[in-house]
Amino acid sequence: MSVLKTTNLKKHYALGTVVKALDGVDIAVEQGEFVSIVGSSGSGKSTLLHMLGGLDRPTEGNVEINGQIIFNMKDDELTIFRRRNIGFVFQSYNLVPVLNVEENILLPIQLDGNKPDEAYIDRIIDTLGLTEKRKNMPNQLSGGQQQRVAIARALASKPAIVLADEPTGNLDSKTGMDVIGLLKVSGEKFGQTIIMITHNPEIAQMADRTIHIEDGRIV
Amino acid sequence: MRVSNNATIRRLTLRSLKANKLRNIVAVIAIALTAVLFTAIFTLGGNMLETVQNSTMRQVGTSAHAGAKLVTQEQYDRIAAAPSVRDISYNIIIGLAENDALKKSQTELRYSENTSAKWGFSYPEVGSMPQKETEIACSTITLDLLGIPHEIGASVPLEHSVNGKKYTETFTLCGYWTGDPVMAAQQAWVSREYCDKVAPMPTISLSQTDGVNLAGYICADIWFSNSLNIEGKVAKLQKEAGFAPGEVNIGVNWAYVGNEIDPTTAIIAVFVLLLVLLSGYLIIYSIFTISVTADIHFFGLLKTIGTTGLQLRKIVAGQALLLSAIGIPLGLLIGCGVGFGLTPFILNIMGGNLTISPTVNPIIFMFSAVFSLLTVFISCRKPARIAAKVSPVEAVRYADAPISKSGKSKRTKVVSPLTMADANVTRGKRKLITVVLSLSLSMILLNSVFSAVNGFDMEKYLSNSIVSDFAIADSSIFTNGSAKKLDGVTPKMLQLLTSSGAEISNVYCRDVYKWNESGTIPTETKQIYGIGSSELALFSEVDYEKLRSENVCIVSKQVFGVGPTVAIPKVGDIITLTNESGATEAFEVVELVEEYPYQISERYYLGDSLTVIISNEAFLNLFGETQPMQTNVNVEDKLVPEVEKLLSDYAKNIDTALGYISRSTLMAEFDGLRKTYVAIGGALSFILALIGILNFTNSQVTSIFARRRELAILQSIGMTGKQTKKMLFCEGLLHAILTILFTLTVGLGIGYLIMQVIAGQVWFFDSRFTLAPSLYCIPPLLLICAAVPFVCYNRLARESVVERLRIE
Repeated sequence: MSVLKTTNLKKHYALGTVVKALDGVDIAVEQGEFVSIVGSSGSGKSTLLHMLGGLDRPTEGNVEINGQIIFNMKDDELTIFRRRNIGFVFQSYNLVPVLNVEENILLPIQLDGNKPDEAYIDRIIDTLGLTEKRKNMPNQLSGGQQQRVAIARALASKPAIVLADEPTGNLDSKTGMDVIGLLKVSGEKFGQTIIMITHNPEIAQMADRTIHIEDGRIV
Repeated sequence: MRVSNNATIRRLTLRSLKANKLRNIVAVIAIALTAVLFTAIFTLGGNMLETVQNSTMRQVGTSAHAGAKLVTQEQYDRIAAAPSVRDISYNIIIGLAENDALKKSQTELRYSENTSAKWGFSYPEVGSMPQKETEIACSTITLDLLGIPHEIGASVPLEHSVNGKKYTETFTLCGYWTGDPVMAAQQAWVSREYCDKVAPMPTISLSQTDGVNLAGYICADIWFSNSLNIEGKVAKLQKEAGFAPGEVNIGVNWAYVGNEIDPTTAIIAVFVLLLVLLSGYLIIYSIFTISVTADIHFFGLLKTIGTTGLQLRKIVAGQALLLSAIGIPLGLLIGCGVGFGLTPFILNIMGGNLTISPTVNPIIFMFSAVFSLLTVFISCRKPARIAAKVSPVEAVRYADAPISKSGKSKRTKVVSPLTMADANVTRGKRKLITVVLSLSLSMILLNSVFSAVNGFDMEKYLSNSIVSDFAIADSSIFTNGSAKKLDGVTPKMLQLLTSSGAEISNVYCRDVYKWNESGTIPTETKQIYGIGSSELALFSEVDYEKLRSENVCIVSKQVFGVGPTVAIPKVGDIITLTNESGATEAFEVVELVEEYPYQISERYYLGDSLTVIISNEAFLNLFGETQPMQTNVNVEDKLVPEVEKLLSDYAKNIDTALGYISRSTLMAEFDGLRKTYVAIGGALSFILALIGILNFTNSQVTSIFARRRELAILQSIGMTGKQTKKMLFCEGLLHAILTILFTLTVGLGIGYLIMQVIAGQVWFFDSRFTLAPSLYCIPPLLLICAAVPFVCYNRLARESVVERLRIE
């Protein structure tokens, strides 16, 4: 069964002439799959990812996650849906600077007003090699470490899907490979579905499946 | 190596200035508000000083720095030739007008040079100074008293005597001016011809005569190069002119001496100036720190490509200067208006016969501009240093506020909008302190002002001014001055009062002098009061019956003066009192009191005089039938308006010399005083509050704007708009709570100190501290602190999460 499905997803911007960032995308991702999306700059892959995560609303078409059509929801409903079902990993880590590592990881759970599953969180932190850094502040960490925190945060709420937007873009290639390795291992270990955007063909190859996107269309 | 790069720095300054429109507007408003405060305070202070000085000059009778009294032509020439004299003019004294109609207002007959008359505020506004022998110029007060119309050519009959010879003349009016009631004496100018005829100039120095015949002597008005240390200049002038000690009396115009402000006023003035400086500093510093921090990437970039720290400082300082060029003139104009608006209030406090003579003084603008500019520069130093010290590498990592690196890690807490707000607010500690202080200042001032006003004790104020519902006396008793009429209450008045059902009690008074043989210097002075039983009860335990039936008296221990001090008698001593015709009567002292109540006194302290109090009956027995100095009147409450009207009509239509004060007019006066403090304190607090709110708003808006990406991240990982708003709301609230805490603790302490200073200054003050004004400020403060982040977020939310995430 597909955990995520898009139907005829379109995003048009009217900037003088109409720019078709997405022009009818249909994809389906199965539970536990690790999918990479590749494409050149401006191909529409980031827009696609934003749509999949409900950060941006499409011009036409829809996204279905776990059988729920997400764009039928109101903004705050969508945000709540997102923190329960989707984990994000960004290129620039996007940790909250005033919170320590542990607080950053627990943030989505606590925003939901829930008690974290501590054994589960400990396992994630252990898997990502962050046990020593639990109490550190983000600015005391290296880029790779920060990205591992971001991955831990994305996994913490046991989301249906983890969306990663060029997670290795700011890292050197060795660290990048390590981080993706950890992402993949974690995904398998915790049964997560992962969709990742990347430029890097080597990294793309680590995925179970690669989707190519060009000019807003799947090729 | 010198490189000419000023033009480049200037271009960078201008360009970066243009890029920061919102900051510029906020900064200009902040600078302008600071300048408004400075200008208002300086205008207020300047007007106050000037009005007091001006009014003193009018009382003294001249604006000249010093005056040589009663000199001969030869002595005058020596003074005029002295090098330290910048300008000089003179008048010649002839004598006093002796017309009955002029007895109430001393009128001096003199010849004067034009200049001296102008300096003396007595130069004809209509017509001219006398030319022909029989011409005269005088004030409208003199004309009115004589019942002569204000018309050139009118006949002015005048009586006067020179050295015992009486003259009755009829002059022709050649000029007049609006009389000033504040002046000690009115001048009537006659021609030189007439002056020389009746009062030829003496050639012997006054110090060599018995000092009784003054006619014909010159009074010189002297100006020095400036008004600093006039006493020293006078001493120097005495030497330059070669006068022997005591030969010539040169007096200082005390309008210029009184310039020294008393310490309490000075402390308050310095305190207020510092308060404004601090308030200005807090906001301007905050604005520039925020903007430099926001531009830190830009400064980092400039440094990377080779701009030196000093040049970066110049850019920041240059921006401040350019913004001041708009803000300060704006503030000067508004502040001048505010200052003038408040001036009547403050003159009201100072009381007396002050009329407002506000002038726009360039020095005030200069002072205000300098102080404002000083504030701007002090405030910009730290932000400029931040810009100068920027490390090109670290600039990239800089977020809204530098994240402290001290304390390696932090305990994990459960994250909620509240804890996040706490973390966000406290990450910029300096900014937080600045904003909290800025908001607190106005609350502290407001609280202090209202506590002070609250402490004004009406009962104390009333009981020190009046002992009954009404007090009636000749108006000279209730005004400042030395010419007191001590028997001003007429039988007709008393008759009217008793028939209207009022209860009256009289106070009689005489100043009795014993003269030396030539009759010029008093050797012994007594102020004798005859009082009723209700007056006696105010200050003494002695039974009135005893005072009335036995020949006993009470003596006050209070003696004024510096000359040969008066020996205070002991209880049991016998004092002999003498009436005007020389008859005496002996009284035994039964009590010594600390002081005789001011409210029933002649309100004038005779130097070296003994105050003796006897009963009404004993007084009348000694001095014969006479009119009371003051009558204290008590009436039933419902009769108060009626009696008030009766007195006011009487004073207006029947006896214009009658003066009265009433409990109700004093209450109104007291109320005016309170309003004055409230108006001035309130206006200052209001502007300070504006500054505080502006500071808070600026800090919140810029902080939320700088964190718009961070807020987008939070939303992307699941923070709802509601939660974000709650967090921002908590951030605002934390500012409010800290402000309230600070105001109620430190503010309370400062307020208390201010109260102590005022308590020393105001005699009707009763320390009554209140927190109410601060408490009333809390709801609006909470509202503002909560509303600003809310509005801000709504603006921000117009941009989508994705758009905000893209911001680098």
